[in-house]
Amino acid sequence: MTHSPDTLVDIPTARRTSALMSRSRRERRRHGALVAAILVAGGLALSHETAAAQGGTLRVAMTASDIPTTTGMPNNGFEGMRFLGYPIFEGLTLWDLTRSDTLAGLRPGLAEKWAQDKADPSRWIFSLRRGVKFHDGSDFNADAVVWNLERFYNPQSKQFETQGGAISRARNPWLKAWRKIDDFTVEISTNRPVSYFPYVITYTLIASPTQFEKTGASWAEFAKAPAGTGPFKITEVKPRVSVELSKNAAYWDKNKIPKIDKMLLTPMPEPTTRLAALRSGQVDWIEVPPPDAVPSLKQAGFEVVTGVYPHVWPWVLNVDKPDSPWRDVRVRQAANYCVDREGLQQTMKQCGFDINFEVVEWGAMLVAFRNPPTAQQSLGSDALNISLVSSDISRMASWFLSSNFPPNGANWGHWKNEVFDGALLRIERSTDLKEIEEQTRRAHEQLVDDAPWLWIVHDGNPRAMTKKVKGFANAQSWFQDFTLIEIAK
Amino acid sequence: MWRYALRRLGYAVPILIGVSIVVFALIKMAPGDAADLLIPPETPKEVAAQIRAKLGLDKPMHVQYAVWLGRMVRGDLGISIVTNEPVAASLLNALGNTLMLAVPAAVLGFALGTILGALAAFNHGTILDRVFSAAAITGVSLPHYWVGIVLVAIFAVTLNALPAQGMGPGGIPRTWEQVRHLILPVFTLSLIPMGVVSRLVRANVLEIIGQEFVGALRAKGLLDRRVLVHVMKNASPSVMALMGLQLGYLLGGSILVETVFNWPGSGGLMNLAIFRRDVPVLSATILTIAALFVLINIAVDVLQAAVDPRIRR
Repeated sequence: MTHSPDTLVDIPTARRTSALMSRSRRERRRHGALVAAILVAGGLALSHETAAAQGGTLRVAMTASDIPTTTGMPNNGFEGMRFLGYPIFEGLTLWDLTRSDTLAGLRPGLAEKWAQDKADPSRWIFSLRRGVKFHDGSDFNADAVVWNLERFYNPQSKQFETQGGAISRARNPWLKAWRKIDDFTVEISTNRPVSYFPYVITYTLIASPTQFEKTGASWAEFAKAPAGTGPFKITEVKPRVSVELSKNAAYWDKNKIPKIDKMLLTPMPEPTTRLAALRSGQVDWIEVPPPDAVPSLKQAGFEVVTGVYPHVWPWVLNVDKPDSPWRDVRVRQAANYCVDREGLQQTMKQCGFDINFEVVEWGAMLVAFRNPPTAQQSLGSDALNISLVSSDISRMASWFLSSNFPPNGANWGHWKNEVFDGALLRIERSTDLKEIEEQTRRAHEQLVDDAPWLWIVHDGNPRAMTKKVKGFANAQSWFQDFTLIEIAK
Repeated sequence: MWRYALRRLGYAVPILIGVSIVVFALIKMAPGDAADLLIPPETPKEVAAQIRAKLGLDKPMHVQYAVWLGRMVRGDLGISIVTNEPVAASLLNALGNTLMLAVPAAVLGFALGTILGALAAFNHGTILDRVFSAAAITGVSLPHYWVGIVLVAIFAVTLNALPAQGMGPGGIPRTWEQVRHLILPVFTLSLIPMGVVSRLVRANVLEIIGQEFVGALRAKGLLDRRVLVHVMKNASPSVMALMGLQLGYLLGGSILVETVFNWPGSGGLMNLAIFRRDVPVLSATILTIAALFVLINIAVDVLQAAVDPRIRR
């Protein structure tokens, strides 16, 4: 790695991301013994087993209903990014997924280093990695970066990808302008200074412009024979059935050339089907086994790996509706104190809350979340239970800034806290690490004390695998490093 | 005869237009559209509006319907909003996969149902009747997705004799590897047609063997197997009508069975399209299945007329 801290405005990942995670840390303390036991029994134990032979195929059952898009900006949320994103395509910055004992931070990706302009903090300079080739053999350079930014952010460009563009702009709405300085230097500007920009640029994945032209300048055709720069390349796509990834032996980071030859990814949305596929030996790895099957899986000798990762599933409280009980901070705090996170035995009723649930499908939930909490789409609800990412400060800004009330952003509950807004503003504009840390602490205090959410679920991200799977690091991230994995013969 | 078949075919046109309007209306009633499902929760308003406009989802429903209908009339099933794949290719692929299950399941279900029903009727009141009737009722009554899960638990997980899910190599089954992927889903799917056909055959045969002409046939000295042929021929028109309906259901693909066995057929495609609000895929799939249903029923009507001269009159 040629990461050179002297030229960079570095950001302490673990501390910054801790803001949104603090509640889970409390839980972690409570669950300490259990988590430790699971880690020892599961993920860590895996890495200490005897070395497995090189080669082989890792067969994975995903929870997705279909194969995530293979163009380099997968749909199907972050599971799509986990399997059809980072293994094949890379960003200028990347997540460090090699450790399970700390929250995943950043590492240099297709940019060897980056720097924020101290005079104009909305200007970033990325120094690109040399000698990187796409899977089709073409060179990665500044033109490729500019081409991909046009692809996502310029609807007038020939290569504009409607779906991928929308996903990119949702995750990184700050990106405003870009410019090639030379063949290996790119300048990117944001619409306001955002110190956490290196985190959000991880979501802008780079695909091969040459391969796009070779496949008839069509994303539908490119999807059948895509090319990125990652450690795996896509070698077969069978719509609705499977995707085959193969080792990229020419990968630029010689230390991260995959140990396995292939990965076979199968969409399998039904949990009992995934379970049966694992237990009958059709796959080696399943995402999210049915919870009631975990004891029997362990008994049958399968590894069930779980651990902390930045995924919360809170009740977002509606503080805009005139008759919402959550408008009173004491009620929000009472609800948070009421929940017995240890055993989830205690009901809210015991604390005097009388709750009616309206169960809706995921699509209806998304529609409600994108509209103001008093809109008809929210069905008059006082709170909404939704799965959200809590990986870094950019996500905290998305969920809690008062400038992000729907439909302009994702602060569904219309929670407004001036101290929080002020702290976030200072974090965004600061280049001083100490100040960023201090303001992160302040922002986080408001999330706890003013309780915009009922912090109830912190996903343990269970996955089950056969004992043949070795070397899995179980990163504290939505994404995983599959280059570490080996398959025992 | 052919005029009759053509007239029936003509009736199919308003049926299909009606089906397409209902599909569009139902999708419109469901919350959200394809754009909502494609983009992450934090998508800003203007980005959501852009993608909606790009996909044509910002136009009024009747305009979207007219555009879609115009394309369908020209034989263009359109492009999936979500996958960008031509709908025709996805649909053909899915229907092919469903046919691979439906045809053997229909053959097995109809054959078993007819045999069990006839045996039960000819042995009316005996223990055999009760056993076969119980088998038929069980076939109809058990939720077939549950049967599928139980079969997987026994044959795939415990005995490790058959695969738990998927099509394996796929394609028209020629090798044992391909066939073994079919066994559990085909058997599961055959249970319902087996049950309903068996019940109807039993009831029809019982009614027919009580009629005077059967006594006359026996009085003529016909052997039992010749009598059986006459009875079955008389029982066949209504049984064929039922088989037609059952075959239609099977060709539509079973969302539940395809989900349990992770089989990429038309039921699964329809299910995906519903959850993604992928109107081009959903409308084309439902219309094609509806068209198949109508065609099968016309074929059954023609066959009935061929078997039973009374219908031709």
